[in-house]
This record gives sequence, structure tokens and C-alpha cells, in this order.
Amino acid sequence: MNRIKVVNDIITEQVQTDAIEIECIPKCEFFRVSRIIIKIRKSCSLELSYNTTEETKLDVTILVDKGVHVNIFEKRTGEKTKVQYNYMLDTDARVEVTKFYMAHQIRELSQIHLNGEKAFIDYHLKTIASEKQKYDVVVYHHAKNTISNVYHHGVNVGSESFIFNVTGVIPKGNTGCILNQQSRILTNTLNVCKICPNLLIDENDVEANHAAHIGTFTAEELFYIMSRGISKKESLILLTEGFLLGGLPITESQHDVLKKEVEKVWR
Amino acid sequence: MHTLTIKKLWVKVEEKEILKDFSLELKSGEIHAIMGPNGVGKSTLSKVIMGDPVYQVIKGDILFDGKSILTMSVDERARLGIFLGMQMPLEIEGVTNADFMRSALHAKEKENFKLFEFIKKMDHTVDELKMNKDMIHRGVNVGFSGGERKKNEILQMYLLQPHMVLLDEIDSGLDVDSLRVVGTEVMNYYRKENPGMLVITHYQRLLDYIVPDFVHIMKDGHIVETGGKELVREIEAYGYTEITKKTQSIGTCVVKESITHE
Repeated sequence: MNRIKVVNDIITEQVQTDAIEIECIPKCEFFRVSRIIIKIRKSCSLELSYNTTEETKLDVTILVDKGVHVNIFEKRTGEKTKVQYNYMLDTDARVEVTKFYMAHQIRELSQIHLNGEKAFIDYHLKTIASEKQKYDVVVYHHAKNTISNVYHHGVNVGSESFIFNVTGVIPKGNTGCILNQQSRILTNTLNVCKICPNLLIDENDVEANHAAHIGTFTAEELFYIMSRGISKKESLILLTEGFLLGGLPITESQHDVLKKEVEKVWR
Repeated sequence: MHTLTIKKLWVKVEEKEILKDFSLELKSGEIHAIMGPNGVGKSTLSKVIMGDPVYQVIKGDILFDGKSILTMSVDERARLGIFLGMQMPLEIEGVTNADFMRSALHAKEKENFKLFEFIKKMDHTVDELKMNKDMIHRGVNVGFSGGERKKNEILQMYLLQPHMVLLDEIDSGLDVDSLRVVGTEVMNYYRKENPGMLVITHYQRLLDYIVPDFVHIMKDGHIVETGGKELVREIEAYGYTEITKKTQSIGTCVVKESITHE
């Protein structure tokens, strides 16, 4: 397991095998944003943990080599953050990304470049928003037979503005691509929650699906759970855990850590 | 010994009255079956007892061991020992059966909850109900067939050990074999724990396994006829329309007598 711990915009802990190479370019007079470049050379797992104690800007590039399979688990906590991600996938690369955010203000742009044929990405973003959050994800299918599955699940527990913009791009000629988007926001507030799904497709021979839902847990779900003696508060915790953690490609210990984080929000 | 008393209950939903002057008393060890055509308020009755906030009680009362439960929330009623096996158990994605039942038992037993005993009991009951062990770690009812969902309700009943069991059309969607398993397991639970049972059904076939002491026919939001197991055969033979016509022709005194008999 490769592990990188970042506090604000500095790498503070790094456990790595020869499967990955890490390059860190600190901010300076010319580059006002710290850059972290992670090159994934062999199939492996990577755990990223970010914590910000002050307003932070960061640029992260993840390059995945030809035929490499990687599972990236990312946890973010802390203060105001602006992040830009670039995922570059070569031919036959297969990437599973799971991001779990419990940070306050977040503004994030993720650009996913499926550069080689049959590149595949499963991208899960799970977040609990207590303050303004905006996420833009753009998936570029630059090659034929590439596959992207993008899932955004968020729970709004007080954010005044919570936005998911998800865009998929398939240019003419890139046949056989599959593009799936699914975004859901659960909210108990009347604040702004927006999902903007965009499919910019210029090729006929592709498969594309999108689903978007903003709402709350249904009265029927709560009734069913409460009818087994579970209080309303505990029912909400259970439903939130299910919504955010259900079906994630993560280990049991990662699951337990996240479960504790979800419980913290409601207790 | 526990008693659930429904006293002259009037219930409405979205300005429509569903239950009208409904009365019934259910004691530990008694099995009551409620039958009747669609839309007469059978499922409403079970949900109102459980405290579904969708339904508004206009008049009357529901008492558990002599104390009104109308102001209690759904979970409080469940912790008293009332259990509703639902007609259409919901799918809850992401919440596993194990987590769901662990939370439910933890809520019931509090500091007495023992994880190892819970796992042992769950394993044992899953075997008894001839359920696939995988379902323990699957989302609640997610991808379950109709039969698996109903078995899952019975599994929950076994784990929670309620004093009053309400089963709302637990036979719907069950094939012959699953019906036998579910019916037999409900009766095994009854023999072991001696709860009061209120079984809502349309068909005789379930009552071949769960043998009722009292059979009630509901119409227009209240009970119009009460009898023993033989009433089920009459319903099968003549249908609700004929039976209720017969009741009406005899007059209201028969109805009153039936209610007194309850």
C-alpha cells in the first residue's frame, strides 16, 4: 500500500513502493500553487489523505501508465480548499477513485483524460457539505473504447450552496466509448443545491447514461427503519452511512474510519 | 401477558376517512386474522398501530397494556414490543441487513447488547428460515425476491422478539414453498414466545399455517363480521360481497354481537 499524507499543501508523510513516483513542486514566485505529480508505474493501491488547517490551493496530477490497475482512496478534512486534479490514463489503464470529503469549503476541478484505448475509470466522490462546495468534473474520452463511470453523492447538512457539474466529452471518431454519470444530493435544507449533467457527444456509436437526483430521505424509508425500534437520529445516521459508503470499493478498515466520520456529523 | 386495545378509532389521510369507529382487542397468545376486500383500511390499520405519521387519528385511542401510545413515535412503539411485518418491505441501499439489525437490537437492548450473541442468533435464524447467508451482508432487501423480502421480515421478527406481531399480507408474492416456510416459522415463533398476532390477508392459504382464533371481516373502515376459522371457508366459498350482504340482512345486532365477542 502506498500512502501520502498532505497537510495544507505540503507532503508530511510518504510511504511508497516502486510502483509510484512522486514529485512535489512547491509554490514559488512564479507558481502560486503547490503541485504534486504522482506517476503510477505498476498496479497498486494508493491512499491519499489531505488535511487543511488554513486556506489552501493545490494542483494534483496523477499519471497512470499503460495497462496499470490502481485503486486510489482519498480522504479530505479541514478548511477552505481549492484543488485541481488531472488524471491522465494511458491505454488499458484501469483506475478506481474513491474520494471521501468532510472538509468545509471546497472548490474542486477534476479533469479526467482517457488518453489510451480501453482506459477505464470508476470515480466515486462522497461528501458531506456543511459550507459552500462546488465540484466540476470533466471526463475527456480521447480514445476509442474508453469507459468512465462518475458517481457523485453528497449530503447537505447546512451548506448555503452545493453544486455538482459533471461533463462528459466524446469527440467524433471515438467509437465504442461508454460514459455513465450518476449524481445525487440529499438535503435537509432549503439552500441551493444544483446538479448540472452535461453530455457533449459528437459520435453516434457510444453509450451514455446520466441520472441526477436532489431530495431527501423518504418518509417511507424512515418509517421502515424506525419501525424496528431505531430512533430518528440513529435512522438518519444509518441512511447517511448507507448513502455515502454503500458499494464503495474500499477495505473494511477504510469503511470503519469513514463510518466514524459520518457519525461525528450527526452526533 | 400484554394487551393491545384499539378503541373506537377514526383515522384519515389527506382528508379521506379510512378507519371509522374501529375497535379491537388483541391479547398475548391470541391470533386474529383480518380479511376484507381491497381498500377497506386493513393496511392502514397496521400502519396506524405502528404510528406512521402519514395517518391522522381523528378520534379514539390505541392502548398498549392500558396506556395510550398515540403520542409515541414509531421507534418508541417498536421498542414497546410492537412489530409490523410489511406488505412491501422497502429496499434500503447501502445499509446492510447486519448493520440494520445490529442497530435495531442495540436500540432495544442498549448496554445489554452483545455482539457475539447477535451474530450467533442471526446465523442460526438465517439457517432456520432457509435463507442465503449472503443476504446478511447485502443491502436491506436490495435485489431480494418477493419471498426473500418476506423471509427477511420474519428474520427481523425473530431477532427483535416482539410481544405484538402485525403481519400485513405477509403471504403476497410468496410461492408455495416459501409460504410454507414463512407460515411455519411464524407459528414456531408464536409457540415459543406467545405473542398476540394480527394477520392481515386476502387468502385462506396463509391461515392454513397460521391458524387464527378470531377472523374479522372489514368493510368501510370497521369490522362488520367476526367469527372463527370457519369464516375463512365461508369467504372462500361465497366471497366478501355475499358474506357482508348476509350480515347486513341479519341486521346491525349481529355486528354489535361480533364486536362484543372481540
